[in-house]
Amino acid sequence: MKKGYNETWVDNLAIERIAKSWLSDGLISAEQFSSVEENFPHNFYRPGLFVRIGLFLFACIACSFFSGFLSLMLYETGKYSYVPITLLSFSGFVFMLNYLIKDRRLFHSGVDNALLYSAVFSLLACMFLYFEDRLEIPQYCMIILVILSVAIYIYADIFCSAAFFATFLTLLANLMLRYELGKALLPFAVLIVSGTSFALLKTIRSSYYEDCIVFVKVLSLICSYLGGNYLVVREANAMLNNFSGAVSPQISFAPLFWFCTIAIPVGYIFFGLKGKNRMLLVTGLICLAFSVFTYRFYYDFLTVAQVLVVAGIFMLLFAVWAIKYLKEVRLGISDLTLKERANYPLEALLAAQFANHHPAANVEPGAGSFSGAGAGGDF
Amino acid sequence: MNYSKVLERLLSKNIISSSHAELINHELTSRPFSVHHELRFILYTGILLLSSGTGIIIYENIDTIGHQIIIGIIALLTASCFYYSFKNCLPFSWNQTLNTNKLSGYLLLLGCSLFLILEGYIQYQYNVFGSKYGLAVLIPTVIFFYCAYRLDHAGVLSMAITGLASWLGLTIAPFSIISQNDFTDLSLIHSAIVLGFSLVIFGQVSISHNLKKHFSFTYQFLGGNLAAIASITGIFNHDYKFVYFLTGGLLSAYFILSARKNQSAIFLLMGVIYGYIILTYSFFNFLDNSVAGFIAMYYFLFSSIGVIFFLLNFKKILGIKK
Repeated sequence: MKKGYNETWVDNLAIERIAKSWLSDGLISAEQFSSVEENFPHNFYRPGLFVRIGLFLFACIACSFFSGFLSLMLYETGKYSYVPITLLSFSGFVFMLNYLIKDRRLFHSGVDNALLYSAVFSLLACMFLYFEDRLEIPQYCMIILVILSVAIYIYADIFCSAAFFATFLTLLANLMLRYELGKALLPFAVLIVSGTSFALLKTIRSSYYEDCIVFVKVLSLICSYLGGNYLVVREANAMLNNFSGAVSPQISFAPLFWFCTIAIPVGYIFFGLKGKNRMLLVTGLICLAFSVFTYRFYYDFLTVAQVLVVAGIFMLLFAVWAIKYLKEVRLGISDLTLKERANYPLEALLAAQFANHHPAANVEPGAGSFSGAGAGGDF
Repeated sequence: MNYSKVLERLLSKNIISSSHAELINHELTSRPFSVHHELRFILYTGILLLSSGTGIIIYENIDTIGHQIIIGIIALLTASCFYYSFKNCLPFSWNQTLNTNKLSGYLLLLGCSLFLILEGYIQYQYNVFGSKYGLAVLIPTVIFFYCAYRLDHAGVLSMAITGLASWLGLTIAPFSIISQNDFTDLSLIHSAIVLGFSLVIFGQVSISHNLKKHFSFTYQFLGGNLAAIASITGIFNHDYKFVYFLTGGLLSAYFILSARKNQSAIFLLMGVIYGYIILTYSFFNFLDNSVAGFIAMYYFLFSSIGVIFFLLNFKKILGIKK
């Protein structure tokens, strides 16, 4: 199956992004960066965030009125009158999507997102109306998964990947909740599935799917934490067993879940710092905050104000200590930003750039008439 | 796409020499992991938690602490914030001054907010201003305008503009704009339109006369949104729709034109969305009901396609370079 966007351009866009960060870090010179732009051209239409939002909104209006228009024309009181309407809107949306990507060189620019979602929705609407309630939830989940996986494969859309992940977890939960043993093992299943999805995603190296991979990785991290979180497990357990008291009952394996609640965020932070992985670190910090909330949810010996004060003092002291302590590089970690670092090899880099000013380049003079189509991010 | 792959690609195109690539590779692998922003985030969150916790505890124990002490503490904090920012400020200039001391900007903002709290506290507790609310609002407004211009702070300027609008009987803030104002009152709509227009015009003047050019965004953003929303409310709720149509239309056109000049996407978006709402409402309002229902489907379909076409081509249409 052919992919929706020009893969070479996506690659080149990624190269340009990395080169741009090198330029701002002073690792390459401005001349070198412009020759990167020349050698790895891409011609995507990438407007700023606000224009993208506007495009998305108006494309949604246009899509819904297109479907409404079709239903005005084609609606009859027959049993299957929705079939031509949904299928026609689906094919119309897909056609417009591919046409605009080719003609207008869109790349996640708002309009193509809206068209893709509308296409997916109209196809799903057709399926769901056809089956009404003759199928069970897992079967509906399967239909969604199939449609979404095609959409993700072709268009590499972030929200489609997130929806895919969510649907997959719903399918898992729904299947497991049918059995008594499954109910008990559900948290472990969520933990294992999310962890596996994170590990699998780590092995994929593709710039076409890079954004999707990062997004789903974060989701997997969060879900595997929530799967082991004591608060989530205990309250979900009470909800599933239709318990209606003020305090939800204690769960089995409570110490294990308490261990997970503490160990998972600490592990994220540790491996984030060790592997210099900012995504892990930040997710770990957020999870840690939720762990504190979990503890406080069951053991509230302090009032809210006192907790705020204690947490505030603790964070303040920790931050001040860490900033002081990390003034120097310790274990490969430092508080200094790149430019503040003392041993930044600026001179060596400058010398290398200068030596490289007249390379036996295959760039012909005057050949550089490239103009970037990216909008300025300023507003 | 990881960086070693990018290095390979750059090397293969001869953009960098192999020694340079080696150097970059060495720098990237040996570069220490900077937790600068994470630590700052923890620090600021800690300060926020601590101060809100302390605030709640003080509030709960107000009987034992006493009002004078609290007012004294707030006044002391306010004064020290202002003192620090004025001590660390650069000499006045009509151009943008770049103060490298980031803390002074934050402290000025904090000082201004504390000043408002202080004033509100005094008014609530001792009723100093009585029912002269105008005076109570005018004092901080004047101070904030002075601080904004003297210390070159756009955030304080937006507080001052908000004060000015409150003084005119409005509370203007991006999110409370519809919920808090009873916008159906005619005099309020008129004063909002007049104020909004004067703010927009003043923003234009500050560009053309080079009086703190970079403030014009704040003036035009706040003023423009105020006047546009007031005009739309006027069109929806009142007679003389033509007048409101004219003001709203003028504003939308101005937004789009100034977007062309400043290459600013947010003004373009504001102009297009307000303009679309105004045109659509007027279109259906002036049409006969039976005809309108028939046309509506076509109108929305084709007009939104038209807007998309406009947004896709706005760089060409508006002559924005790059």
